[in-house]
Formats: sequence, C-alpha cells, structure tokens
Amino acid sequence: MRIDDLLKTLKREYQKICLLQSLIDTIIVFLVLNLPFLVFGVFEVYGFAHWKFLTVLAAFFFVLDSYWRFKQYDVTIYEDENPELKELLRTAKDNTDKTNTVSQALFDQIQDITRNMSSEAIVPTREILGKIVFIGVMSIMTISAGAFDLSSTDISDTLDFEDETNEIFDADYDGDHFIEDGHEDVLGDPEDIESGELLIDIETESSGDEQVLEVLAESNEQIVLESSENDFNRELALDYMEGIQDIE
Amino acid sequence: MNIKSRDSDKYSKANKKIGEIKEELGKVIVGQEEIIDNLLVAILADGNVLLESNPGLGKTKTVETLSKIIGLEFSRIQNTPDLMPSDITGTHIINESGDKTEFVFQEGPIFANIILADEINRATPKTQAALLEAMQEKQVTVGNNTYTLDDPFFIIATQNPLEQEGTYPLPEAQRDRFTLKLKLDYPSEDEEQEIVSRFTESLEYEANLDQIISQPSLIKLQEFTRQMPIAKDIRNYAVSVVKETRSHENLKYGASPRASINLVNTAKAKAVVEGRNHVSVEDVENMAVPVLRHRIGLSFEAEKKGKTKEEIIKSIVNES
Repeated sequence: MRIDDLLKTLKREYQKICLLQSLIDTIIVFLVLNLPFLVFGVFEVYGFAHWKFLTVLAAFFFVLDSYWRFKQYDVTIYEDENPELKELLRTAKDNTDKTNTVSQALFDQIQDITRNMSSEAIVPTREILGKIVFIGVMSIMTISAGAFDLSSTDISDTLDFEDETNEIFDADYDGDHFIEDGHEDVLGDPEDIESGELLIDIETESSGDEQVLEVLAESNEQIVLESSENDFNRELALDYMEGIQDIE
Repeated sequence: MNIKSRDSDKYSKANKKIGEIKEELGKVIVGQEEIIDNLLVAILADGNVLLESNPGLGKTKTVETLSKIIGLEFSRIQNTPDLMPSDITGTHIINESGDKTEFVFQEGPIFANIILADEINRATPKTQAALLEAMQEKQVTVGNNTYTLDDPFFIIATQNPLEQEGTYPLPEAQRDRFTLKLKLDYPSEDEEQEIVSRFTESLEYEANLDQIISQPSLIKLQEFTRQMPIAKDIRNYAVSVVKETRSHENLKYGASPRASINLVNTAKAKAVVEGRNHVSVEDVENMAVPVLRHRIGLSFEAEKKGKTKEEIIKSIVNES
C-alpha cells in the first residue's frame, strides 16, 4: 500500500516537529517556574530539591503536550502548504487499495512532490524562533537571580536609613567608617609638636567691634607660646601670631 | 531525483498520444478545440454523441479525419424519412454461386467503428430504434440473428436545429442513450478565413495525416479512463448535481442515474484528455452541461421566462 506508507511518512515527519515544539515548550515551563523559586529562595519542595520537583513537572508537561499535538494531526496541514498536493492527496486517500496504472502514476506524482517538499514547510519557524529568544531571556534572568543571591542578603542593615543619617553628621564619620584615634586612615603617625620653653607675650592693636576685641584681648592673654630652640617651631609661632593679627 | 515507475511512464506516453491526436486534427480542422476535446472525451468514455449544428460546419470532415487519425473504420449514414432499418443494419441477400443458393447476410453501414448518422431526427422512429439498439447493445438484430458489432464502436448522430418540419424528434428515453450533446457553433472570422484559404486552393484538400494510435491502443486508453482515480467527495458531488435536476423548480423532469454514470465517466475522460492522473472538481463542472442538457426538460414557467437549460445546469453546479 504505497499511499498508506506515504501518508505514514508524512505523519511521522509531523510528529518529529511536534516533539521539537513540545521540548521547547517544556524548557520554557521549567525556566518560568524555576525563576520564582530562585527569587524567593525556596530550594526544597516536599523534601526534594526544587529542581527535581520541577523536572518531574516538566516531564509530565512534555508528555501531555506531545500527546495533544499528535492528536491535532491532519494531512490538510501539508495540503495547505502545497495546494497542488491537496487534490492529489484527497484522491489518493480514497483510492489506497487501487493498483492500476493510473493510480500508480498518481502515487508516483505525490511521492515526487512530497520528496521535494521538506518538513520545514510545516514548521512554524517564527513561533519557534520567538520561543528560543524567550528561553534566552529567561536563562539570563535565571542566571542573574542566582548571581545576586537575593535570598541570602540581610537587607535589614541597608534599610536602617535613620542610623546612617545620624552617622553622616557625626564628626568622626568620614563616609566609610568612623575615624578612630590612631586610625591608619589618618595620614602618617600622629606627631607631637614641641613648642619649646620660650614664652612670648603678644600685644596687638585692633579695631573693630568692642565685643570681638574683648574676646580677642582675652584670647591674647591666654596665648602663651613657649619658644623652643627648634626654628620650625619658632616660625610656626610667628605665623600663628600673624594669623591672629589678620583676624583683628 | 524524479523516480518514476513503469506505470507512470506508460501513462505519460498515453497522455502524449492525446496531444498528438489533437495536433494532427489541427492540420484539417480549424478551431473547434472544445468540440474536438469533447469528441475525444466521448470516445475515451466509450460513449455516443448527439451533435447539433447548422449545415456546413465541417461535422463530417471532423469525424472522418478523427477516425483516420485514431485508426478506426468510418461510416456515414444520411438519414431520410424513407430510410429503412435494414438500410442501416444490413440484410440477407441471396447468393447464387455455382449450384448453391443461400442467404448471406450483407453487413450494413453500421458495421464500422465510428458511425456518423446525419440528421437522425429525419429518420423514422423504427429506423432510429435500430440505430439506438446498436448504440446501447453494440449489436444488431436482423431477423432471428444477432450480430455483434466490433469494439470500439461509436455513433455520432447529428441534428439540424433549424429545420424541424417533417422531422421525428428523438424521444427523451432515446436521447438519454447519448453520453454527450454538443453544439457546434460558427467559427470566428479569422478561423473562417483560414478555412476558406485551405479549401479553395485545390480541388481536393488532402492533408498528410498520420495514424497516431491503433485500435488496441485506443482500447487501452479507454481502460486508463476507467482506472482514473476519483475522490469520493467529487463523485458524490457529481451525483448530487444530477439528483438536483429531478427536483429543480425550473425543470419539468430531470436526468436519470445513467446521467450520473456518464457524468463521472466523462469527468474521468476529461482528466485523461487534460493529461492529469486524477479527477478534479472542474472536470465535473465542465462536463455537466454537455452531459445533462439533452436529458432535462424546462418547465413552462422557465420557458416563459426565457431561461435555457444551460443556464439552469450552471446554476445547479454553482449551488451544489
């Protein structure tokens, strides 16, 4: 039964395409279900690893989806893609038991046409490409969800804005951490400056506000500089004096 | 790679022959492609043709040329009111040879493969009956003896649509025996000029005709026609078209189941003539008018409205 064999071949080609589509749909289902598990940090379901649970679910989906697609088969799928084939197949289906010359010529023609017509003709290329792109996007999202490991982050520390705000205004807070006495962030080791034993009384004449002058006069009295044999310290003291005069 | 079985090759060769027949006919007959196609359809479907045409349109020339090309014996019968059945079938004559005297059956003009029965409506009903027996049974009865006619056997009967006085119109039961009714129309101006040019340049225009196929090959072609696969829904469609004629409001009477058989057979033959290996819906639609037009009768209302049988058949085909 040549035409029976031919029709079976066409059906087998269709079933191969169905299996491919079911596989793609199954991958999509797996990725879509997997993502929330990662995001919310659920790694166990009923005592099993979440990926095992999803694999079983996906396998079940694959079987059901394939079965449903197989049931949709009708030879008109090929006829729609090739109108010339439509009438030929229709006639051949109703004459499968015929072995005469003209019927055989008909079967030969159908075989020629279907041989030249690949199963790609019935593959929904756009749909499959779209699904592959979607799988790509879902894969990236899955990887990203795994990389950031949102489930292990203790967000409570970062949410206490009030404490952070207070710290910012703390004089010892330099933005990264508190500056502690002797902290290495301070350039170099603290150096003691020796002022020496020279005492210098400074008298200045000033103008300006009497209150300011009083403060300054008060401050002048308190200024006691002890000179030292160190020239650097002497110069430092002179600079200091000049600075006070400028303020006045 | 184009793999073809031996069967495909055989069928392809047969199809090629049909093309060559048409080409050979074109050497003598100008135009009339549709009539030639339908004549070939009738021959392949092993059917008889009722040809309606005005005088002088080349009916005899066409059939005679066709018979030469397909290797069949041709015979012409001019029907007149005084024509007797024995003039068609043959008769017993006395043969005196030596001492013996015996009746010998002398075959009439009906003993050929293609018979052109001109103006069949001018023959008496009795003579028409003799022709019609030959058509249907492929045999003739003379006295107590029955003589079988050679295979293949076709009758192409003609009618003049103009002169109906003194004629004996074929009854419906007898018209039903014709597979197709064809109407020969006048040629176009160009075609007529070509015809005049061909047939006025010599006393006897004789084209160099080749015999394309033999009798056994023609019978093989007829077998191929019967083998032609047809889809069930197309066959059902043909039957539904014929059935519709029996209950149509514009028809007094419709076609018989013989019309359904003829419609399917001629659709198959049409597919062979077109070079296909399956029957399409268009084949049934194209053959519906020539198969049905002589088997239906218009109602009084339809005649009053000026409707034609062809219009009604086409409307049935479109609605089915």
